[in-house]
Amino acid sequence: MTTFVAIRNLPGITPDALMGAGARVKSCAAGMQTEGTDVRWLRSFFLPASSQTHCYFEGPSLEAVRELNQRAGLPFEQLVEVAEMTPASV
Amino acid sequence: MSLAQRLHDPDRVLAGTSQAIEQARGRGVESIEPDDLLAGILLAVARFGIVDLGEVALDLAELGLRYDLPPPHTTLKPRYSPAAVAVFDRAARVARADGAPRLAPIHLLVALGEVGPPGFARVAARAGVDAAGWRRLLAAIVPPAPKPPADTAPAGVAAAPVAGTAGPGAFDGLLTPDDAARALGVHIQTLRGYIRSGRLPALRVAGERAIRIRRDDLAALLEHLRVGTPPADSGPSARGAGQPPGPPVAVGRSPTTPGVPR
Repeated sequence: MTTFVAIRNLPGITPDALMGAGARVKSCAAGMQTEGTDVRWLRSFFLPASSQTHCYFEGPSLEAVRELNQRAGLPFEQLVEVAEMTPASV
Repeated sequence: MSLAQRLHDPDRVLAGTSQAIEQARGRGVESIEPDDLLAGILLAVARFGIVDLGEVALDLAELGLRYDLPPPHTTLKPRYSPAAVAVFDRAARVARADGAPRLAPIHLLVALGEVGPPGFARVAARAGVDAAGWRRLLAAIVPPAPKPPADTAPAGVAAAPVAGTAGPGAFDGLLTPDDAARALGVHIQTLRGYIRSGRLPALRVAGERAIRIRRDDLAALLEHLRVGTPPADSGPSARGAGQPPGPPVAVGRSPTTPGVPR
């Protein structure tokens, strides 16, 4: 499994809308899992200063994560693979 | 698990939205529409195919919704339509205004009633209500009280009487404003508005800032909201007589605001 980040520019986005988006992506991820594609939404970070949202996913391929976002009706500017680093890994 | 618990259970949203996806698949399309969401959420909160809204019991089979059908095996990959996305956004605003930390099925049902997709007309006709009546039906479903920690008194209930006043049990049935707002399914500011306008009598413990609300007063207000009529006399003075002497004193102004909020 690989981690990916979807970077969205969402000027004017509200926490309310993020809650609705989260519910959609959870349901679509569950749907894809029942189809045999193990794709998961891990977490998201909202950057108020830039109106950006960074959403992290785990999946077998970039295409699977792209499809999850499209099914959930979530536009993004960039979708790229992530190399994870933690204090424990350094 | 009661209907109120199911309607306010955030974890049941996933069951409802998964049902919505299956509804779209069952229609042979790849677009999840608001009607699919409505069907999915109703199926997810129903018991034996019935959604009992108190005054009205919806039989989902009569509405063409079957809960016992196997999911269709298709290769369709449904995605949310823009109209369905708008329902989620609206539901999230409803949840936020309600003071709910997470989206629950009831917020989606309220939002669907406001958007009014074609399928909602069938549901509303079966329930014998319009969009406002639909909201009243849902507003009357009181959220279940949160479970108290095992080693403490129930949250929001003044379990211990104040020293020097009435005896044990005199303060049973008192709620904090937060608990009362949760029970009514409204935002805390809405609840405080009820108190300020005198529609909901409240008590203040003398010498403290704490405000308490009687369960009976909350039930009376809820009853007025259910039938959509203004309270005939809901001022603090109406409930003030017969209170235990001492610390509690009524707060709020005289009743001036009739009608149904929201």
